[in-house]
Amino acid sequence: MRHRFRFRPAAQVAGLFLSFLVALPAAPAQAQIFEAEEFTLANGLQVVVVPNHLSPVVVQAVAYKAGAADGLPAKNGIAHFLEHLMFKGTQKLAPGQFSMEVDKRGGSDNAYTTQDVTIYHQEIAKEHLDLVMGMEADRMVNLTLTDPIVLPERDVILQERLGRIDNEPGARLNEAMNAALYLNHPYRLPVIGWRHEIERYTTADAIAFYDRFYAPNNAVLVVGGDVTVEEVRKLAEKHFGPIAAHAPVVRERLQEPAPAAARRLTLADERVRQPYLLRRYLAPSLRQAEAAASADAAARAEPYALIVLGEILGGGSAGRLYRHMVVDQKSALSAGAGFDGKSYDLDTFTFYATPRQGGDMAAMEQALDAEIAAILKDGVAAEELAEAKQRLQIDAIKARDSIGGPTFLVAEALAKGRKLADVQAWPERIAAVTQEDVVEAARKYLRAENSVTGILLPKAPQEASQ
Amino acid sequence: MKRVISRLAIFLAFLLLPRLAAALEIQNIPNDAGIELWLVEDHANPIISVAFGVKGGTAYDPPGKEGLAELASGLFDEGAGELDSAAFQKQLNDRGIDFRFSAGQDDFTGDLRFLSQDREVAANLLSLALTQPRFDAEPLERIRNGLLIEIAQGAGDPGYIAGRNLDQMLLDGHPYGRPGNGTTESVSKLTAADLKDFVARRFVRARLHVAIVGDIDATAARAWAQQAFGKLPETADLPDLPPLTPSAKGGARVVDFAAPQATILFAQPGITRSDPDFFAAYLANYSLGGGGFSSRLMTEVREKRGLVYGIGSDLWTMDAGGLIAGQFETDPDKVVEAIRIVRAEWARMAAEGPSAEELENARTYLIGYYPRNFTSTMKTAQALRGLQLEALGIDYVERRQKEIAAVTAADVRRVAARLLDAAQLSFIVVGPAAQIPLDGAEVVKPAAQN
Repeated sequence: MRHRFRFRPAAQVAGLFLSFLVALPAAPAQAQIFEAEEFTLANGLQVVVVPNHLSPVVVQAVAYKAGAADGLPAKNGIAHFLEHLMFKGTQKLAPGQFSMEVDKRGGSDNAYTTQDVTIYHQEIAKEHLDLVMGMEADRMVNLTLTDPIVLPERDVILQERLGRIDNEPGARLNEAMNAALYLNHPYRLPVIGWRHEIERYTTADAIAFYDRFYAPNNAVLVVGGDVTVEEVRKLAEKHFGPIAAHAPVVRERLQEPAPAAARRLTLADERVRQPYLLRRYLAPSLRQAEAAASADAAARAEPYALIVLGEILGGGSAGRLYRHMVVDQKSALSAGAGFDGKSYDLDTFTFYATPRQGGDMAAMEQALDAEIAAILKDGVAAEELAEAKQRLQIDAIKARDSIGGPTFLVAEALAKGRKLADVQAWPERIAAVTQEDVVEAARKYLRAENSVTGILLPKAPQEASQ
Repeated sequence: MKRVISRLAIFLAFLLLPRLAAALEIQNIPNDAGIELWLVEDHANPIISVAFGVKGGTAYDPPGKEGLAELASGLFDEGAGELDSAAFQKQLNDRGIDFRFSAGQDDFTGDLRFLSQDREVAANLLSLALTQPRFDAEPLERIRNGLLIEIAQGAGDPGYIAGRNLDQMLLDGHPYGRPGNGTTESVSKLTAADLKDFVARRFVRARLHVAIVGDIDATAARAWAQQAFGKLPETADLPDLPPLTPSAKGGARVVDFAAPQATILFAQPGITRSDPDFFAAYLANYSLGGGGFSSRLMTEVREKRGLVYGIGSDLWTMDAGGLIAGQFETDPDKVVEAIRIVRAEWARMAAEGPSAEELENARTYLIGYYPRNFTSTMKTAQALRGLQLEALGIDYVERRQKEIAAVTAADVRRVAARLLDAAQLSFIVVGPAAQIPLDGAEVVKPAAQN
């Protein structure tokens, strides 16, 4: 949920599949490649620096180890509500002044909330790092919240929900799929919250969440760009150093039971012009596998095997699904798959396919099922495994060519409790994946009872009588 | 105190300037192919980015062949020379070569990014794609199908519907007023021969601009360009676009559309990038609606009244003319109030211009923003290609900051008064018409065919 809004001329229409594809196998990282360095302040704040000197610019990200899934079930979405309120001023800064100070120096600032983390970030010319770090440290402890400031923001969030979810049939289907797939875990609830709960948020709700989670020992500071570790250490000590640590917060969330049955949902809406099919299977995240690794070395390999499987099946035009379903059989207009593995708790392996104009959804789904069955039965060939791993390794090199990319990647990973060394080990763990790893992980997790299937369909306007 | 901070920021931005220019070190590389070729060397990573472009975007599609440039943009990685679609894509995929084309209104552009060890392969594949594209039946039909679906999706997308109505109200009769994606009818009729004609006419060395950034030196960059572009024809006829005179009649149109939220687009005639008043206009618009949270539209419509999640306005500068346009979404029953506020803010900015503080904030933003265009090899290459296509010159990176600093408050007031006119502002509202009582608006149904 992006908080801020900057107008762009709407040159491109319908980014759903574009953004979906981008969201799938995100560019992998190797901190060694990024030359990242880390240290921790006495109050527990973790700090990472990711140098990049192409332009005299820095990106600062402060990530809190608190997301939507850490909030109150009865008023879901408080994490995102607080994210909005963090721009409403402190004892030193007037409401909106944080953003204005950044704007008028040519920088940009924004924030986003996921199920697991809340991240505040700025991109700005390097000489202003002192200023933005000072303001970020200030709002970690000095936020001023009163009813006249807080309550109108509920209307802004209701507008955001209307525009992004209620007005978008695909987003409504996605909400319904999460609620069906996760039987017990809070990932079943939307990050932005349900309308009837947003309407009941209070100032006290926001303050309680802030007081519980916003503290140096529950946060990660990552600075990328044209800086050195020494510069960042000096500034971090100056701005964050004086802030006292809180009592440690332990993340305790409801966990999933063993699933009993496959779930299937259909949403038809007259605004849908492009139908599609999505299927998601529950699978362990990198963080979960790393936490289990001391007891079970094989568990650590599973998410990496699924990432490689996602590349074999869904690696753009090189992927099996595209070559077979789109080019050869012509049963789909587009088709793909991927596994990201970046959730704190159970993640999902995702398949998608869109039919050609006038195409048969049932036949398309059969073709998809046949591809999954072929993996379970025959596994993957040595050559396609090697090619997929090679493509992933090249992606890791290309990911270095950015300031924001590596900064957010490291900030999110560490705020989900992962270690920098594990993030760093990405290329070698991808390289270690074997044919056996892939087929075993596929057989373990690509099971019907572990899945939800969502189908988005058009509806003729006359059926929607109003 | 605020004044002091602003002046300090300008001062710092000037300090920044020599470093940025030095870090960039844009080299102009003369070459046998006779193309404009700029290079920035950066050896931090084994990566090379190439951004190139020609005049000849969607506005240049011949009448009746709307969608030609857009269709072509999806087909350059679908087979060339001896390589069919699968073979060509395997060459790209195995080396992780990014190979993308896109059709703008004025320009047709390409972006390549690859590991420096693969530069020979990348140059050969690009040369093949530009001189011997196959346009085989299977990929042509596949990509055409995707474009037809995108066109059909537009018919259900409030933003797209609003854009088409804006075309009709303000740009009627000009090539910019046609749908860049084409129509179901025009796209269905496009042939491989049309596509081959497109390539031959638009990809010529005389109109080609190329920027290379990354792990490559001048000698290798010159050889790369020769290898990639040396076989293109020198030139070919391409008729100029007629000057654009957008409608200044103003008015409002409600497109009846069942949705819980209304989408609103507003626009009036604007200016081109080559206009000497461009920076003054940019500064005025920044204070009005371009500056995110600090703009007047955002303050009045979102912050004070909570009517929208976001609202903004922007200068749409095209080669043959321009618009000042903006967009927002809101509940149907809030549309009338939101439009009233937009009109009032528009008139206030035209009458008064920005305050001294707003102007300084806009100026320091514009100056301070610039280095952020150069934070990756691809962003840098794209920014340089933009300077080439706008004919701004290789010294622009140094000139720009001084030009912005030289704009006076009187300039900005004069240009705001010259340009902004609430009476010329047209509003297109896409939403449930019965719930939107907008005085004097014509109410229409969405067009059946885009």
